[in-house]
Amino acid sequence: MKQIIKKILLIIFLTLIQKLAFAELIYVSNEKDHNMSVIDGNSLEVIKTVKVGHRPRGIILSKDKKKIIICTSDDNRIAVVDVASLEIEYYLPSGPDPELMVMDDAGKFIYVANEDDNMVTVVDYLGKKIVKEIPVGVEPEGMGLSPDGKTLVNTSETTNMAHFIDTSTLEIKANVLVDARPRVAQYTKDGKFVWVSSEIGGTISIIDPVKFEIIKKIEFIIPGLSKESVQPVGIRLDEKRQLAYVALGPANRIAIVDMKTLEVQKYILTGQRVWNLMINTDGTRIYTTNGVSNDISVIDIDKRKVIKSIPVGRYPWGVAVKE
Amino acid sequence: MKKFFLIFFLFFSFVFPLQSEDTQQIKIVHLNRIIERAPTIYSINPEIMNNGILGSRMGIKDNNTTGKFTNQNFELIEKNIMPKESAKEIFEEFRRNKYIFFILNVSKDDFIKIQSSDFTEGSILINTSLKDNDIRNENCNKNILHTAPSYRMVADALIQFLKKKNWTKLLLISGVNERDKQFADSVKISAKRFGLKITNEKIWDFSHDFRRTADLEVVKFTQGEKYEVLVLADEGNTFGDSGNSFGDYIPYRTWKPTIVVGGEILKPTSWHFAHEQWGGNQMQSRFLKDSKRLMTNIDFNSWVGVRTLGEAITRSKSLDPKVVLDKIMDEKFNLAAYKGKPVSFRKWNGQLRQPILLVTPRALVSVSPQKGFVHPKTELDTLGIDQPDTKCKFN
Repeated sequence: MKQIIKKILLIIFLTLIQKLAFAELIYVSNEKDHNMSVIDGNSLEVIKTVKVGHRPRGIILSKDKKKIIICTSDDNRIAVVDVASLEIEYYLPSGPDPELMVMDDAGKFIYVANEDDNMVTVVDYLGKKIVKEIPVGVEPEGMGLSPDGKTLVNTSETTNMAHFIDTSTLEIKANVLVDARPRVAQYTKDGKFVWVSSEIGGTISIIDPVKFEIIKKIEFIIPGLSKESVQPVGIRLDEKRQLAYVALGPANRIAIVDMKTLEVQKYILTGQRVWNLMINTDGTRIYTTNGVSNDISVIDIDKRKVIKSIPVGRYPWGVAVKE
Repeated sequence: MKKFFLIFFLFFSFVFPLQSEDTQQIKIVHLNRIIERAPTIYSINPEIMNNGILGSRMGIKDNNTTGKFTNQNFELIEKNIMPKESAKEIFEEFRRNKYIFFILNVSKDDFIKIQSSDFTEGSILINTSLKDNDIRNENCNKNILHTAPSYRMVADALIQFLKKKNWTKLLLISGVNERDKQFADSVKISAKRFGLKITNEKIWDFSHDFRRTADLEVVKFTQGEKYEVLVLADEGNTFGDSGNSFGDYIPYRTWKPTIVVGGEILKPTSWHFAHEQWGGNQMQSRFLKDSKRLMTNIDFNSWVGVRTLGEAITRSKSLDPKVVLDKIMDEKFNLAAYKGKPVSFRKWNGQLRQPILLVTPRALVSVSPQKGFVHPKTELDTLGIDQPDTKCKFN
């Protein structure tokens, strides 16, 4: 009897701990519904849907975690939403068709890819104004900032290049040709490598950002799936576990890649057309946006499986997580 | 001593010229056949100006954004072939002047004559408008690529869609020109391949002005036929894009309520302005901004042709036609073409493998290959002539 009570108490205790641990909020931009879903990380249910403007895509949190910053592509501006009130507080200029963005560590500048305009726009976040427009390739998309903040990597989908931009001069210092339709760029924490996904090429290029050379290309071979349906987009690097998580689009899977050996360890089935993903605040879960099945997959990293699918709006695109 | 340095300097500047001044110039010739058009039934259907050329221009622009970073500059040479001029002679003149890369929007007759020229050797030609099966099959040529889909491909795309809907009893109505016949033949092969039944075939050869009489004629023409779907083999009266189509007069005039596909009604095609998935809207708005009109399938075929040459030249860093062609035919070579799947070339006949859109005049209905049609290598090869069936032999 004592044993059973002990067990019950332990279960209650663990659930409580878990509940406390997952006191986080997940924000998802819904491209076709022109809104943002707010999900409670504890119940894993949508608690609110907020109108944010037309065609919301890139979504990040401000460095003080008090604002949600969203590119509303068809409105040609950035909406800044207050975390507490969940209301749009003000807009930032972004240049035409903003898609993806990255903020520097100091929380001063936002670098925005203007997909239709072949530009990267540098926005002064506090001053609420555009500082500079940098001409890049056709359909700029991915944005990655080096850990020291000195180099910005931008990918251009049609030019098939990763452009390395010096953030002090705001000039392009090098270009690296990668496979077709590069989407996302991510620096490793030590700043020694840049991971770039090529959606149509079906590969990840690992680039040496000093020599500006591709060191290795990772390919994804999934039995029973044609080469064409494997389309890597989102990349997140889990520095603690030395694992990379790559969203594979219409392959409806994410890949877990060993960051040292650069070998694929496992594929995890998600919803349909998985594009972007985010590791949660305590590093136990991944949230993925699935554009065709209109839901979010919640993946337990240690168990390596999906523990829940959460229906959101149409064409969920980007995801941000806040404690 | 001074002299020594001077010689030293001259020697080195001769052997190692400065890289930055070394921009590689690449010229691509777009041959565009001008035809005397038959009057269109609808006078409001205007001729599309610079059809294809505007696509090539955008391709050049895109190539140059990469080229700007790789020290390569692409230039488009646009050449209209007037009704009385010979496409072959013009092609040969360009070849004598050492031009290598060609985008072709020419008639079948022009095409056959160009293909017969000894000058095709050492050049790369890209067909953007002809869907004829034979030039990809028994009459293929190793120097010629096709970005236009073949009749077999578009027929398979349409038939797969009907199969998916389980609308399997077809009445096939065909026009009288050669292209109508080829589409009809391809539909028959495709129906057999995917297990659909053609209940009857009829030829529409009325030549009078049936804006006045279509109501009566089409009723009688379809009366008593047993079918679920009426399939039109109506490719219009000009090559490439259809101008004058009898098919526009068939829907709503049939004996019984009928779904009509084919012609311009539900058209299988490589591109349409209503297509906006997979970044397609970026392409459409870029084209509209530059060209001040909507993008046609011929524009798309030309764009993808110019991009193919651009990618292969940028990646192989060569202008040698053999090296460039090898690059294009490489297993790993593919292009992003806003169609959800990478497009690439079939090694066995130089055909671009690509998804095919099914469109109404104003909207996208579906994209083939349809889900569930499987292939050991790539689902895209469920459209058109597959490797085991090819009669194409290069060399």
